Amino acid sequence: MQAQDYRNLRFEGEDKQEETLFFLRPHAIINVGWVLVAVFLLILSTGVVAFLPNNQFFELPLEPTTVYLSILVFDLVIAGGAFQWFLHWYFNIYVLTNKRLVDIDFFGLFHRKISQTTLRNVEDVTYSKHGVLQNFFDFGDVHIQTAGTLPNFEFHAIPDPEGSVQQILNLVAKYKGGVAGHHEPRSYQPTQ
Amino acid sequence: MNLDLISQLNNISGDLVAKVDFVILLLLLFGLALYTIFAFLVLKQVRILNKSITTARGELLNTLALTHLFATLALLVTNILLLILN
Repeated sequence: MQAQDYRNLRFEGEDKQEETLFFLRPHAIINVGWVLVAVFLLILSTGVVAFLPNNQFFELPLEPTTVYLSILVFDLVIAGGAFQWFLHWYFNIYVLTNKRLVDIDFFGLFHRKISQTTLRNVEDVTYSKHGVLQNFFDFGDVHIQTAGTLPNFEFHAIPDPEGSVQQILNLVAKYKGGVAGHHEPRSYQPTQ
Repeated sequence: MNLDLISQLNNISGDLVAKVDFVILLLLLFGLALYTIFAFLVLKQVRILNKSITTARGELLNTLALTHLFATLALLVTNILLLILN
């Protein structure tokens, strides 16, 4: 994400004097699963069209126009599903402003959740990486513990979690009047 | 005798094609009608999300959602035309 994109980001409930310092989105690699499924299904439907005999469709009594229309509808549904998955990834955003942390979760059609906490409430920030994929592509979960009974924050599949934790800690320290840049990011292993 | 039989079989086969075709087109019409509602909802959803979170690629997503809706409508119209012509 380029620096100008940070400035272009605006979210619901943002104050006029609030400045977006950085925002995170889950690593693009997590999209590989649905992309592969969508590509496979599109290739499959194209294959059906390619091998379609002139007037018969695997001995089915159907007109070619009906078969082509069915395949186009199938492709449209695949494209629509892929678009939904993309939106799910694209609009799951974690924003850090000069005042607070915002977690915007998009679950599906008309279901989204926006959680936030002020930087003052941030107590501890840790990260975890599980498995070969997360270690190979350098992404993981960031856990933000907040003060008292406030709900904790979980940022899932974040690229470079160690760097992100460092940035968050620096900003929190700056906000609280501490010294930035002297925090040791710690990894965290959740109990099973 | 043989020619009569072949002719009758051809007629039966032709009727079957027309009937199955009609049923498939009706099913497609039903599915596409439902899918059109979904496409409208996706467009609405993208607009709401763009209002909630303004990003650099918001306009592109809106265009994609609109294209998706138009493609759905185009297929719906084609389906209706095929049903009428049947």
